[in-house]
Amino acid sequence: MSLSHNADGPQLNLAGRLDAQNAAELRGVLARHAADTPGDLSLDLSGVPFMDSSALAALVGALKDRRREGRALRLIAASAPVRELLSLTMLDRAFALPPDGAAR
Amino acid sequence: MSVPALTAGGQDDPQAALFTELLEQVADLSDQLVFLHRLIPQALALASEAQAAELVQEAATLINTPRAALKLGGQWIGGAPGWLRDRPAPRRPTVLPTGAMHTGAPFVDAWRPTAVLLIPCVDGHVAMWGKRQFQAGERSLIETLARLLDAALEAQRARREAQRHALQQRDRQQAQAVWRAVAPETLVSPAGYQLNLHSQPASDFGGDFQFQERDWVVVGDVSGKGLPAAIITAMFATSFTVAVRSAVLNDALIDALHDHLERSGAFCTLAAVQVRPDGALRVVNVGHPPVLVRRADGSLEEIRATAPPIGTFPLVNIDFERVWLHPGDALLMYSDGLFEAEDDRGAPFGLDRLNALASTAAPGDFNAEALRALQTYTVTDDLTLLTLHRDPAAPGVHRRLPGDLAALPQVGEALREALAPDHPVLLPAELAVTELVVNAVRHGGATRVDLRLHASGNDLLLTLTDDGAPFDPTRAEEREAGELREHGYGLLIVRRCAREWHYARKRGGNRQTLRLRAPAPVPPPPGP
Repeated sequence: MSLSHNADGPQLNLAGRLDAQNAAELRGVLARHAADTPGDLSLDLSGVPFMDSSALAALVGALKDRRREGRALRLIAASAPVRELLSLTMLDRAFALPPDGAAR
Repeated sequence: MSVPALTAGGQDDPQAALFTELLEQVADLSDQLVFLHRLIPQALALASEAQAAELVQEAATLINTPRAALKLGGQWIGGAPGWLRDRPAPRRPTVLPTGAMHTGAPFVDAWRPTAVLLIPCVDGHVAMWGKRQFQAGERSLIETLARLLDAALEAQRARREAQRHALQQRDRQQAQAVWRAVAPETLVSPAGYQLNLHSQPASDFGGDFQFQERDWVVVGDVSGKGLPAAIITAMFATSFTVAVRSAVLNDALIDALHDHLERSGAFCTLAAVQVRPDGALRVVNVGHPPVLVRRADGSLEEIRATAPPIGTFPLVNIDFERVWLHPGDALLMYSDGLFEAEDDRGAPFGLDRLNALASTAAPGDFNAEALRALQTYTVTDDLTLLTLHRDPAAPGVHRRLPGDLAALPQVGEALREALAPDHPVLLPAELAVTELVVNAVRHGGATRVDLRLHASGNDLLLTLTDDGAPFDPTRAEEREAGELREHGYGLLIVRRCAREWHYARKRGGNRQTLRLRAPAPVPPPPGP
């Protein structure tokens, strides 16, 4: 299972499966990005074929950290399985995920 | 018979007198022969003791004495005079000379002084009186009559006995036919299953039973044997039939069964299974030996009795266990006649051997293999074997995962093997099952997790077993959706996808049985 990421200023693109096995690693990536890059974060999860609740918890943690600092974390794109997860947990609104098919 | 008038010799001739006497004797003898000739067929056709008394009366008339009586089995058939009534039975044919016995007043039916002829028969004796003496020939004739009566009465008894036996046989055959209507020797295979039944009663009827009602298959064992057990079973089958038609199966069963059984002092064990075409079963076990779920790979799960036999203790509640039979899985039900069978040293067949057999034999061969294994055993009780085998050709997947999170991608692989790529439950199911596996490995310490699954319409039927610590996730605290927190989403996801979620702790492991379906989309909250 691999997690790859490339940061383009305030936008972070994640790729690979995100689950219980690498949720801690994801937490680290998000924390480093918050420390290195000022301002808000846009997260693109269109390259994530599957994400479970452990990875979701890492995203929620990052969101809460940023909110405390008055910064935002938005999801700008997500694959169908990730959308399914957000829909099941009703967190799609918390991450301001635009509807499927909307422009990024 | 009239005697021709004799003219030869005249009245004074002593030889002629002797000749006349001889002729009269011959005539009497002839009368007697004629009598016997008539008597024998009459005696053979004797249908009652009253007819026997009539016959004795006829014989008395023939020997020219007016009165006769017959005592059989301690009773005077048709009555007897007071002076005769209490006289002990003669040991041998006896003629009491006139005056030897007081026959006059004050007795009922008093008689002038008379000789009395007493002839014993097997079951009583014949008495004749009313003349001053009985000839030797007459005595012997009545002795013959007594022997004939003995034979005729014995034949009559034998006929009655044979008739009674035939009636009993007929009753028994009818009862057995009724019994087989209640507990048929063959049951119908539900669609998608192969049902094999071996029903081997220890007697014509009673004891073990089995029947089908709607989508229920029922096996059971009524205490006792024979007709009483058969009657209780018929009653039970009727109650059950009524109960499964009732909306409140639980209460209906309890009401119908317990009270009646308790009153009759009988009790009854019962294993009933409701069979749905998609593999979903509901199983009830009340006092019956463990029902076995035999998975396609040979692993076994026991469904043990959740209550003592009906009729022993008041039944408060009937528990239904939900089990999915995935393709190739089977349900095995058997009566105690199997594991209590003994070999020639008295050692029982036993449950261990039964389980080993259930695990190794192909489900379709289980009944035959069990019977083969029983060849060196003596089965003294009823023996019932019922195997319900779900079509192994139906599509389904079994995947064994190690207790390692690195194996998580296999969850999706297994699901995609069983479901079309656009199946609506595919994405939610992968999320839900992944959560269940993560829980089992991370919190239960499971070293292996087995996923068995098949699709049914929009539903995914999943059985997840693991060897981890006992944990019932269906009772875990529920969290709210949409809440920002850093854990606790896992069970929420499962709950949102699970139309049914059942947990059971089985030998050395946890078993979760789930029916997963894509949740209906939550309507968006009203606009700002």
